Amino acid sequence: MSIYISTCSQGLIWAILALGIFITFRVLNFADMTAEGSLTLGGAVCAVLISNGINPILSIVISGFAASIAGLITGVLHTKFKIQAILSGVLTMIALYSINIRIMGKANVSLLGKRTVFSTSNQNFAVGLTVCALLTIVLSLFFKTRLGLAIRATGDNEQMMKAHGANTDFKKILALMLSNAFCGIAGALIGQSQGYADVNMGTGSLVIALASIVIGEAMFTKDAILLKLIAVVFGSIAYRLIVFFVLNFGMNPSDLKLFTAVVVAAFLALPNIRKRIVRSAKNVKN
Amino acid sequence: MLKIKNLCKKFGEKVIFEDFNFQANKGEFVTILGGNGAGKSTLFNLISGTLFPDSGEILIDGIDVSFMPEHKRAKFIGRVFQDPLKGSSPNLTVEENIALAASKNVKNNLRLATNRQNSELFKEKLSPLNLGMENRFNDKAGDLSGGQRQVLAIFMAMICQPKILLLDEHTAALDPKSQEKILDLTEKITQNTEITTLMITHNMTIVERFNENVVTLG
Ligand SMILES: Nc1ncnc2c1ncn2[C@@H]1O[C@H](COP(=O)(O)OP(=O)(O)OP(=O)(O)O)[C@@H](O)[C@H]1O
Ligand SMILES: [Mg+2]
Repeated sequence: MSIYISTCSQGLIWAILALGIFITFRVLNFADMTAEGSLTLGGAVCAVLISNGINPILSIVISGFAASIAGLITGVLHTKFKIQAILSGVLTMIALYSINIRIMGKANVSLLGKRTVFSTSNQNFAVGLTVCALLTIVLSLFFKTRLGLAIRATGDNEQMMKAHGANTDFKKILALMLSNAFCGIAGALIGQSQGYADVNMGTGSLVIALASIVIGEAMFTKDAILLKLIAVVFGSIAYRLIVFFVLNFGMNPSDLKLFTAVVVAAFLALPNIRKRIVRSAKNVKN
Repeated sequence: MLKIKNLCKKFGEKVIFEDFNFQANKGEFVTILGGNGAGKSTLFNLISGTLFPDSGEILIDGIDVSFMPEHKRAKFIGRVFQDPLKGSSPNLTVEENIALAASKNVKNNLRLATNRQNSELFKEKLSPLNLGMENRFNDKAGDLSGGQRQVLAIFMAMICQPKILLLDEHTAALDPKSQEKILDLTEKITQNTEITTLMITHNMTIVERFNENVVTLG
């Protein structure tokens, strides 16, 4: 039983990353590659702060702010200097690799023996659930404010937002900062739960977040924003359970990234394949 | 009032406007004609700030907006496009779309966008128009038909009482029945107001119907 609980806790912690990616990938329609660097940045900042005796909760908050600056840079590169979305994110991500090593002073920082939010054993689930629930509620409320709605509409129909007097560049930058703050918070929590921060901890995280999003969307298909966010959280938990089962069935752990990529591609392709089948079925009828 | 003085605009070698002058008074309805590529949409882009002139001046109520960024002058301007999909955000509800348009001059951005009071207000404004839109408040805008979405777009363009309304072939993508509905709506909302309306069309029956003031470009 406890193995399932720890798998679910993992899902909850990683769901924070997935929520962040949801903001860029689904709400803003922006493929933001910064995320992998921001996750590591959050982990690095948090580990260094905790090693220096800073309160672990405060460290998480600071990590979120630090990562939001990464989002700011990507946003400025894209909106002010007109660099393509993907490239803006890649540039920031690559730069972050060096910056993260500078922050840590080496390739990794151990938290062994330090007090973290997970210190007392078996708190993982409670901590993950609390943080996840809190962020989900705050985010869903935010998306119902004027600013939040304006960000959603900017991702939906930028031209219309401009015609209605919105500074869409500002909206995009803000959404990127928010998204990356989530990635940073996720990194801080992941670092604390595994007991160290590592310069490569973000590698492959983006596709895991995408997997959580598409699995969540396949499980629930509701329009309300709160339900969409909850779907992402459940998607993340489902992803972890699926991974647990396939590894138990004897899949080679090094094949996990291939497996995840195939899952994401398949789920993204599914709606289009379905459309094609419907269309060809109609053609046969006619 | 809209005043355009000595406007020049080129795209590379191609001259679209050379010393173009134009004036439309408060409450005036102007129909704009001209063949494909005459520069009608370009004129609207220059007025609303998606493009900037090479030289010349564009004045709205005496304020020079020629180089004002689009989002800053949007409070003076309502715009409706030919494509009904361009006028609203498909993943937001009808009410959320209207609320967004209505709050374009409002600051406090961390308030909830929709509330019962505003909702009632929007419905009050909509119901005399007899469009049935008030029953679709909680539906996604993306689920509306083209004609309904254009109704929504016009309502959104008008809700902040702009000084200038720009209609760019706003009925061209609709079936005859929806066209009729939109034209009725256009008439209703532009008559007896202080809004200056510029409408682009290729359709001569529409020109005759709004037979006031016709400008031909090209
Ligand atoms: N941003 C732009 N860059 C370069 N050329 C442009 C741009 N916008 C318009 N043009 C060109 O300017 C000319 C006028 O275009 P415009 O869209 O204003 O025509 P129009 O009168 O609206 O025509 P239609 O009736 O087909 O809508 C066209 O030849 C077009 O290709
Ligand atoms: Mg045109």
